[in-house]
Amino acid sequence: MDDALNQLVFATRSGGLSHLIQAIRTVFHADAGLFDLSGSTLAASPSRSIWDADAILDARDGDRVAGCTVRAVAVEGEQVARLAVRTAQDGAGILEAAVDLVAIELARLHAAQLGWRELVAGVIDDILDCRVSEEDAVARLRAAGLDVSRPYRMLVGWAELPAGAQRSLPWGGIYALMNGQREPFLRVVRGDRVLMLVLDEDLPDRIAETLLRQLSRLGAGARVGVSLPHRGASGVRAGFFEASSALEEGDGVHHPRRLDLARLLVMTNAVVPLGELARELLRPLLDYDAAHGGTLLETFKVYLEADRDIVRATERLFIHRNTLRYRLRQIMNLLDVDLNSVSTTTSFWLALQALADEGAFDEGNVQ
Amino acid sequence: MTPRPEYGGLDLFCAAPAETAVYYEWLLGHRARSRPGEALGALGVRFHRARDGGPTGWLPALCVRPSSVPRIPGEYYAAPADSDIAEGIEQGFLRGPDDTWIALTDTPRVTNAIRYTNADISTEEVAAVVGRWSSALGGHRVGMFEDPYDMELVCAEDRVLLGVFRVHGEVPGMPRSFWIGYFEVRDLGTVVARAVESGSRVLMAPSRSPFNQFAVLTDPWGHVFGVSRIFDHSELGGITVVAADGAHRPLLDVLELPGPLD
Repeated sequence: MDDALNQLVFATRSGGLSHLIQAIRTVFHADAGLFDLSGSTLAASPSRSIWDADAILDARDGDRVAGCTVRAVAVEGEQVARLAVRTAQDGAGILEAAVDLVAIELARLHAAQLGWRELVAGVIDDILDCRVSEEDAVARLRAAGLDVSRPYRMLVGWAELPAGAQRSLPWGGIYALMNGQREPFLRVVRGDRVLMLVLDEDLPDRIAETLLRQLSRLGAGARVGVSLPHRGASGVRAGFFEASSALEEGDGVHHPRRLDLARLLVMTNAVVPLGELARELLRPLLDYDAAHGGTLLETFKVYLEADRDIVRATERLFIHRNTLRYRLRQIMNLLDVDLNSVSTTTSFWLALQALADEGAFDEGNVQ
Repeated sequence: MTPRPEYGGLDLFCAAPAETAVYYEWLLGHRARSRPGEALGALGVRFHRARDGGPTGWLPALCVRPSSVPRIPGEYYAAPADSDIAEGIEQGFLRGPDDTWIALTDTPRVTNAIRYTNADISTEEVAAVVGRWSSALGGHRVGMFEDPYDMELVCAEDRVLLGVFRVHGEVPGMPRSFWIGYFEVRDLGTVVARAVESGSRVLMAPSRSPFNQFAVLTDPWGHVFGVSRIFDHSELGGITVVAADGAHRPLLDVLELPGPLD
């Protein structure tokens, strides 16, 4: 057993996964294959061999299927791959050791992948939270492998996954990592969502369908939102908003129903100090609310969001319609405007969007 | 029309030729031209709509003299002239063992097509398949010396027409013999990674053969294809083959092979 184990360890050290799988074949005198959770072959020996990957994926740990003994390979408790050996012999515990070595090697590659993804996630977080200038963000995205001077789309994927299950997503990028190359597309996990940035020329809808299938295998309710095309680092914010909104449409792949120009302008603007101008425009309401503990700003926003429909606005604000009418008269008086004017409401709608983008209406931060 | 058989390129018979062509051109990094398939068409690759009872998936196209092809009923099928199937396949098809097909063309589609693509057939009956295609195409066999996959090449003079090798294992629903159409690429790792992220599945992981680095995949529609990066001639020099006369000779003394793409 020691000789066999030494052979496996030496193979892993000298040539990684592919050598390890070759050594497993030698030790067991049987074909061996390693598969990711989408059924792609990560390594096999002999290399010109074909496998019933679907049966191997459907098998439970230790099952015998299609003439193979199938073992689940887990990294930090999450199944990430399947090892299949065309033998019924356990080899006095050697198969167990082989599974452990495969897991260690996959964990090593995955750690490199995660490190890279966390670096990219940091860039995306900084952009989404407006902590970085457009110029710096463009440079950091370029360093991460995305040239945002070309049109790209944001993909946001979600499914009912247990914590940490995103780790089990098939690692398309692992083929690149095994060659010491970067993943072909930027993919990060942010909260319970998977984010991808894909150039528009890179068939984003097809990538979205693949992401959907990957998520569907891991959890119920899988869905992917695809943004409109954007350029520049600020487009990441707009893309995230659009893709996340499209996600609300339900299961499957969805695109934004229509372009929200006001929101797009606010989220991608890097020239006009919109937040500052918005606060000036809405100063009378901000001052009134601050002085009286009022809610005129929120009332105004909800009223416009409800397309100036009194009934819908009162339902969302949980107030009587007379109360709303009273507040609207206050708003018109304080701002000295006519709320029936399209140009007026458009300006104020944009100002409210700018404040919303700064988090002015987030819970615990209203006013 | 060429005086000797010549490898002509690859044909795909599928349900959605335009959509599939867009996918392959993107995957292989060819800039799209005015219509889907045009960029790969310049390299001898054609996309066709599959017909009931006709071939499906990737198959090689061979450029041969029409008079040299034995037109045996049940084995020879003339190309229908009334559909897009006829485009680029001026003659027809030959049916081989295990219901595998090759397409026949009258004229070369592109100079030295084998620089861009090539085709292997994976089978359990290497000798029978080599015999069938050698006989039908008027070629001869060249064997790889001590190859673990019994690799054989069907050749015409010093040019490779087709490869034949033994596959290990079997998959329910998958034919016993199947063609793998290979595309030469510059960066195999990146192409495979892009393929997996876009709905393809890796059937044979990136590996090295005596000739090349290769990987075999199924595309999002289930067609088997391969990507390859042939080794430089300096690496191919040490390979021994069994020539048509049974003698062992260096590969490059027997066959004219292209080098890797720049």
